[in-house]
Amino acid sequence: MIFTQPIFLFFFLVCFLVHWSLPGHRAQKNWLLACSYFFYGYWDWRFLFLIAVSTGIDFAAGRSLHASQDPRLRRLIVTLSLCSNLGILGFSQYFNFFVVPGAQLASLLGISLDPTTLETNLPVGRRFGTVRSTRYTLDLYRGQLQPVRSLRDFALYVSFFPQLVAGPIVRARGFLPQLVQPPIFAEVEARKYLLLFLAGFFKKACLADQIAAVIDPVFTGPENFGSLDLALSSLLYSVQIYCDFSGYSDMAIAVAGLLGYRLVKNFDFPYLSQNIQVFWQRWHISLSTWLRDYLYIPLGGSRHGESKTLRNLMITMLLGGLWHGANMTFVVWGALHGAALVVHRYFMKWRGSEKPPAATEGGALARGIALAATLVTFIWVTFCFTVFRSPSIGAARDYFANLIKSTESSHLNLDWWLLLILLGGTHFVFSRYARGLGEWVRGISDLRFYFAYGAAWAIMVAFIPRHSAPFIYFQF
Amino acid sequence: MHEGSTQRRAIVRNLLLFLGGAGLASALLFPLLRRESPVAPFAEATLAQSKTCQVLFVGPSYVKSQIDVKIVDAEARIAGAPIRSCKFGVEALRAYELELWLERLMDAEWPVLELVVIDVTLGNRPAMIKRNHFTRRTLDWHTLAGIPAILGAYLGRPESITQSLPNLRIHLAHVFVNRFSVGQGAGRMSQLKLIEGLRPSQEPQLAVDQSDEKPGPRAKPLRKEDPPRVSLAVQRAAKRAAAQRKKEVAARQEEKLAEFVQELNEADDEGRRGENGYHLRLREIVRARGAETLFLFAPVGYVVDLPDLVERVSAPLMLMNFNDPRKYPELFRLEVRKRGGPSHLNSNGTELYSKLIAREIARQR
Repeated sequence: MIFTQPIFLFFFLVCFLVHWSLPGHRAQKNWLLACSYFFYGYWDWRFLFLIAVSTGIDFAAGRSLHASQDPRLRRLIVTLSLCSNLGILGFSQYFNFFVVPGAQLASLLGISLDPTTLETNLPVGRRFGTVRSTRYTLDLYRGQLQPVRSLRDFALYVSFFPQLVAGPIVRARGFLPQLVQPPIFAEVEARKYLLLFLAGFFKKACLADQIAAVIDPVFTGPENFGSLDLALSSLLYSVQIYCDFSGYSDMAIAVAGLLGYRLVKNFDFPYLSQNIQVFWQRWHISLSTWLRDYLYIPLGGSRHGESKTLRNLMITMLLGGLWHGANMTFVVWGALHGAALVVHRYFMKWRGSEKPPAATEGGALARGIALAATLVTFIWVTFCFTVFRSPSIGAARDYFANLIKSTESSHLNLDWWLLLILLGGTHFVFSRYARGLGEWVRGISDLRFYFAYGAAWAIMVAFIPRHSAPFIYFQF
Repeated sequence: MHEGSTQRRAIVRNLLLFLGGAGLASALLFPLLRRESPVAPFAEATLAQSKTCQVLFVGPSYVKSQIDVKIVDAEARIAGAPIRSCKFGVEALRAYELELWLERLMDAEWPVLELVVIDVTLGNRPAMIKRNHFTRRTLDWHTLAGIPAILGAYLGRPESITQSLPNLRIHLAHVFVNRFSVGQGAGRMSQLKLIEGLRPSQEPQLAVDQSDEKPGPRAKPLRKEDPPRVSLAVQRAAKRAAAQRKKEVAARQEEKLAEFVQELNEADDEGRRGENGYHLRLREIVRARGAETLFLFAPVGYVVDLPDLVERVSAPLMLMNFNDPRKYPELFRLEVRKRGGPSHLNSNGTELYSKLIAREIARQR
């Protein structure tokens, strides 16, 4: 069940109507927990055991951490909790990644090994679940959070269906307090969330899915396409992954919001960033915050001199890449971003300024520089995403080789270039006027809003493909 | 709970407004984005003869490939009742799709139309095989007006409602997709090619719509300079094998026909009959044009549900049942049946069947 399927819309309608009809807060939470388990079990009911066991272990670990004052015991508890979470993830997803190269290395040294590879399927969204659970345990360990008393509340935090499979990764200290006070229907900004859902649906179904149908054949056989096609496909993939993932995040935030719960913002116009550091402050914000708080800062952050800061940046980005899956393309993607952050840091130091010029400030020269910086950042991000999208490092190398010296003629419809320019322009305009639009929408009558909203949906469904592709980030 | 009831009222009102907006917009978009059914060209060909046609045949492949209107006209003339006939035959045309196309045909002017012969051998149950889901042809007949007829076909079936539910769900999904023009705009956009003038563009494109009948790959014609592909001995062996296969097919068909006769006798004993409602609706559509209806059952060689012969309220249904080897043994001889497709007739069978139909029509007129 994905957010763009009719079955989800029906499921959510029932969930929403029953949720706001129930008389007490407890009943509402029980209902949401049941809905969340139904939502997750809809993929495969066996996943429910995994999420239930993981919830039980982390809840018990939280209670034990709170009860114990002994530092050694607390370390042991947090280690056990982390091992249980990372163990499932690591064993099922990274076993083959390390075992096969290990055996190859051994054979180079003259040792013959017959590695046993595993055929395992990671439950959908398990990486997000792991990050969410570890966040709770680590916050408790650091004393930044009080343990939750109710197992039901904790289970709802772990399994809350809008953010269950692909984020945004909520902080326990941001979400758990929301479970204490009952949500109030009158305080729900229904229009804002309905529009956000519509926008997310549009990005996913009308843009990402359509683009996927065009560029998938290019990434499968780049040798059959011309240089212009390959360049276009790389750019379009950047649009696809943004629309797919931010579309999902928008819908998740909207669905939670309509039920009376707030989730954190996950994207903030990342392609308008003027450097790679700003990009990472605006792209997948909930994950980059997690990487900063639970990897970069514990490694020492920027507190121990320049060389260690650069090392910490590289380690954080490499692990961030590896989090996406057991493929060298993800590791290289992380390394490329890490390298870009290092270069950016050196550049800023050389320039003697921390802040880039704003695109809308200063004279024509400053604006031109800002625009060039934005373009360079976008092209670099696109280059990295091309590696990320390729099935292997060899395939990525072939892709770029063909991009430079392909003799094939161009096959793709040229209108996609036009669309790319239009999307870029719309993205920029929207980043400046989104707030004003929101205020205007708040001012119109119910009759006009809901009637127009219905009409907008009717127009939108005419522009979606009948078979939607799964969300890219579901595999994570 | 006062607050609760206000809340519920607000939700219901907003939901209704939403549905109103969606309904109005989709109604306005529908004619703009309407998808043409691949059946439409067949209807156009039939309608081109509407001014002169006296007897119209409507039905599935049993009409399309087994009734030759020229033979029918010639035979009717010999029988002393000259007619001018035409036909509308489309593969697997049945149930509500047949009803809808009959309505569309009858919307035109038929100044001399006397009789509409409708082949209802395939019955009133829609065939929703997965391969045809969401094709242009299947979507076309899933109209809002058709919902009662489509759902009605499932009532009174021996299957339980739980068995029919998946089909009902898929029918409703088709009505939604058709009525809300889902994906139609995307299909149109992909054909725009705004900056196409710069350079020719080739596939892949946005491909939303699927054609129902895609041509298969063409065989390459053998050229003079091509070397012989197989030796003479191999060709002879292949011929012998083909003859053997023909014999086997004939034997199987013979067995099948024998089974059919036995099954038909048993069915008669049990009084196997279908529902009348569908047939009465078809007759009403034709009557509104001032013509009469004759229901036709093709010689398919398996038991089909026949409607009750007597209508409860008015005249009896007129019916020609050729699916009866006791009455029409000549239609069930192996020489007139198609090899490999035993429910259909070959060209000899088509000639014979067309003549029999012409004589029967002449007799009933």
